Amino acid sequence: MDKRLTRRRVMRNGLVLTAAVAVMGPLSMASPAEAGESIDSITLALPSIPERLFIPQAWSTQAGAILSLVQEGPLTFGDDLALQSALADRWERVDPTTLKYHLRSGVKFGDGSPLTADDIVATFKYHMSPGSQSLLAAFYNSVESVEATAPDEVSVKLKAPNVQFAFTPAHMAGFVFKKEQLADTKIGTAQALPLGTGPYKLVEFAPTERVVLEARDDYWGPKPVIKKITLKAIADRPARLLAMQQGEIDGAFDLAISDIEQWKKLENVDIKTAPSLGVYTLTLDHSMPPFDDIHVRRAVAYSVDRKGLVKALLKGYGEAATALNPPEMWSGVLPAEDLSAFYATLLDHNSFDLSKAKAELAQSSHPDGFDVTIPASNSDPYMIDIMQSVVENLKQIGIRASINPIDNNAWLAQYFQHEHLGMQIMAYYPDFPDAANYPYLFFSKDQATQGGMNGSNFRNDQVDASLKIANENPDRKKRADALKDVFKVADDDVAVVPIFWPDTAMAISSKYNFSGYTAFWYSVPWAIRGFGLK
Amino acid sequence: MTGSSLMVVVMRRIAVAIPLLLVISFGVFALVHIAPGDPVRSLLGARTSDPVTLAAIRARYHLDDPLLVQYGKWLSQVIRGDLGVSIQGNQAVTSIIAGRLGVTAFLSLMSTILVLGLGILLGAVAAFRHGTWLDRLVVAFGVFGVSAPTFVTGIFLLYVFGVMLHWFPIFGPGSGFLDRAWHLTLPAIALAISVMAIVVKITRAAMIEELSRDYVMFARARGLSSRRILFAYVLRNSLIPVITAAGLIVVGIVAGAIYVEVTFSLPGLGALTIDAILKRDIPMIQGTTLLFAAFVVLTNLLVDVIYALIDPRIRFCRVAS
Repeated sequence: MDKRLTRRRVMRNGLVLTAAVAVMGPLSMASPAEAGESIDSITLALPSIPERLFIPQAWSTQAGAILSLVQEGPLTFGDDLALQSALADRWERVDPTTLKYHLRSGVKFGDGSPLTADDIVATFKYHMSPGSQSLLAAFYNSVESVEATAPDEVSVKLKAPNVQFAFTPAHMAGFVFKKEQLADTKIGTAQALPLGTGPYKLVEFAPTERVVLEARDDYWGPKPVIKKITLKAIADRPARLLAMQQGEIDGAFDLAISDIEQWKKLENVDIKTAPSLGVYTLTLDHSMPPFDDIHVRRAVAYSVDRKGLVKALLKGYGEAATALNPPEMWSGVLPAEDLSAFYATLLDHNSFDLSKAKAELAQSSHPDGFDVTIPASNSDPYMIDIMQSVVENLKQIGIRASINPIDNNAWLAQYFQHEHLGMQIMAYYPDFPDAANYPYLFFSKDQATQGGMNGSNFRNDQVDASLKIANENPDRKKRADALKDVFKVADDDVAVVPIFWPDTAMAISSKYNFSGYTAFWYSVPWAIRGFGLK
Repeated sequence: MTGSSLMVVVMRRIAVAIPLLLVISFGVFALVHIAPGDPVRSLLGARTSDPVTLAAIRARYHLDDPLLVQYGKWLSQVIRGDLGVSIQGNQAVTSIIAGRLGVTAFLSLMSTILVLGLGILLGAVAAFRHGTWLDRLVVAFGVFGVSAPTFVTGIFLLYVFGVMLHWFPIFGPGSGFLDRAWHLTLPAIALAISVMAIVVKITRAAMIEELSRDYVMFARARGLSSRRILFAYVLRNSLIPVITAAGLIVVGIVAGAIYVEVTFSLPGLGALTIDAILKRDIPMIQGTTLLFAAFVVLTNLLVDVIYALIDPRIRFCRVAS
């Protein structure tokens, strides 16, 4: 059977959703290294290195960048972001609330001990136990129980059907620990470096400064091409550029798009970009004046120059958002051509037109405008710049808007406090690519509360009913129809005002190939994803 | 002055310092609480969370208790020698501080040596060549240094000596004494340049004054060499204002280290404090500010002791009163 065909079909089917889907073996995950090709050592920069390497208590992109080389989950994301097998060589949805993962044989931890079903059960239970205070507990909210049903089989019982749980074993929440290590209170410190089944093991950890990883000979998957990887923290953006220029580092992750032009001027440096699957959006509080008025919301939507912002701030590395979901989030649910046809129907008030904006405001209950202040994080690379443009446009139509730049923590805290919301700007990057992820967060009633993401206080019974179908029903067609309905209603009602979908960028010395850079690079063993000498 | 009176004065000063540290720690505690923000948000970022877990985390750090109760719990820990557990990464504050202390201490010491050594030398040279181009050059350099922000000087030094000349590394603290000194040379210079002007100016002014005194003229009349006059008489007498200012200078260097550590990607206490403040990591902020406050108090005490030792005319009772 043609493997490519199978993979595509699997993806189309919503990845999982037919029974007993066998996913590909490790060989298809990355182009295997040419015989004899190997890189002795590379050094890459991250904006920071965590104080502790223990994802349940230090959950960040940076922790993922390091630990995704050391630890793996039962599943992983392929270069096309579809789910692939990892520690589980196959898995199936036995019934709508039962998932079974069959363990690959011969997998070993970095200390040589074999992986068992108990390790996976212990990891899942660790996140589920309130006592361990795992920051990723929310990913396991839908789980009723988890148990080893055979020496090489783990069964997960869900409280109710939940399609999104399928992704949990593939991202950081699914990284498997050795059971005994989870009892060690020092895990993640230099005294107790976390073990994993991944292609690398940690050999040195200087908290907040650097980590050194060494390739394992006994890794079950493709042989790592790079023998030794050093990741160093360089917080200062200009210093990172100078370090690359001087050759102290071979590359850097997490570049700000606004710096890309400078990086491109360096010799022998390649810039890799990929859609981040993130979104910048405005939320407008539907429960309070003035944004309870549809005409006011439309006026705001017409006042955002999305294309201009993509050009000015993202230098083209990103796309103007026609809806909340970036196109890649629909993979496995709606084919690209159907999606663009659907998004074309939503285009109307997501276009920039100040005369239409003025006309809408004139029709509203606030024809003379109003005052509004929008809090924005001063450490986000784009937020304040976006708001400056939006505020100027709003002033032109008579809305007296101003920005309140505050530090990131204060901004997050006030957003999730869920009081006096008014107009807010939010930047969100997802943990997994599912079409129901964003609409659930931004449009569901559940989230229109303190600690929730629905800053618009958007409440709509039809949307909640359709979201329930999309969250519970594995059938691709039913999900697609339900989600299209959600987006249609949300768009008609201007639930949010999406702005753009930015790319993510990294720099790498042009000596090397790195074909596997994707939105979820920090959740997959990136160093074995198409990394090699040119 | 006897040794025992010195001891009494030192003990008295320490006794005064304790309520001062309490006031500072409470002030910082209250300010962090007044400032908008939420420590738990830093753990989660822009993510929704499981309410039960969230409540458990808040309970662990007593975040929902009234301010005074929280402070009381923190204080009772501190009295037992425990600075608590950081919210970021859930680790003992003392062990994190201990891990970071080395870089900041090394950097500050190197910088202090540069500031005092080079600053006094330049000040002395300027005073000795008072009114010449050399004097004006030294003063201009000092003014330039004090006016340029440390992060700008830092990036400039990085570019010239790191990127163009390849003499020094761009980032990181290095390991082992020599490697660390090599890594910290540029940061120490960047830090020193911003503070050195004060030492240069004070030394220069004091020396010009001393040089015009009668005893210098007599010494010259007796045919003593310029070098002897400068080092044996003038310098020692000019040092008193420098020593007085040294407390301020050392404190200024440690405060300046915060910028320098960020510019040069050094994992020191300054970078730790900034990060803790940005993330509202209350136990960590309390730990580092307490340490800084204690350092300032002790430095000033030490300066007063040295002050008395250099100039025996100064009596401690006068200093203390």
